[in-house]
Amino acid sequence: MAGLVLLGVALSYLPVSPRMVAFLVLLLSTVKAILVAFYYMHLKLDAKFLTWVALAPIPFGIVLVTVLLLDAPTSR
Amino acid sequence: MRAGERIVPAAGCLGVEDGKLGMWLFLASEVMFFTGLLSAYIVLRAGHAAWPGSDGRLSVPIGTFNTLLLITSSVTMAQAVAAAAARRVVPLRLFLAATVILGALFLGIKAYEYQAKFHHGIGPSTNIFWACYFTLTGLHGLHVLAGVLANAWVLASTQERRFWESRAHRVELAGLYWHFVDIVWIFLFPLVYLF
Repeated sequence: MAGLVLLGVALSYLPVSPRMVAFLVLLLSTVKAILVAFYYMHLKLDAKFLTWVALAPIPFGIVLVTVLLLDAPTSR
Repeated sequence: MRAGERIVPAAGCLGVEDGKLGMWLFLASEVMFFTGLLSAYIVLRAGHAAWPGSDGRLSVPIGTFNTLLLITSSVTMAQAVAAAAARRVVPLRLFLAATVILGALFLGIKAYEYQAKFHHGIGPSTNIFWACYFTLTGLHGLHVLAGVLANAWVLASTQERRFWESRAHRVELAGLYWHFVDIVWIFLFPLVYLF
């Protein structure tokens, strides 16, 4: 996990577009979050129902971000 | 019996303990809470080409160190949960104490960052970036504080005579909340510090 954190910091200094950096770092954050949820929070070992409870807000979150970004003002 | 032996019997046809189900439902609502805040931040960031502008910058080394602190505290919390499942009271107390200390250190460093910003005349009303920064990290900090207090309470309850009979499941519930707080910071840190 510590290695993934440092990798994320290193990625932010890559000479690529900010959008690509944001995509890569958020992808890395998602991987870290899944690892924490499945192993530290025991989702992998617990009843499948709990995985569904944990995943339930994700689609709402994606819809929220997408709808807001579609309505976002353009960069000045 | 697998590792992570249940102290409280499973509830109903879902095969999930009441406390664990309740905690996961609470965490699901907290996901929506932080998703709303982070969505607002992402949208505001997308609308401003210059960010955070000339009003000072955040220290990436301090933010990275704080992230490593929180991740380490997640490791110690996981060890505490494992110790509780194995009914090993000394490692349980040690790892819980370590988690509390690491969480308190995180908050201390956050307070130092805030103080440094205030010292330079930077506050929530300086510009939209700092308003987002103080809101996001302040609310996350309050969650960390609640987690530190909860972990300290669980640590204190390990002294009770009936701990292993009816209270040991609190360790796992506190662990779930603490790992969630870590997950939020895993998303918050890159969004706020690295872009």
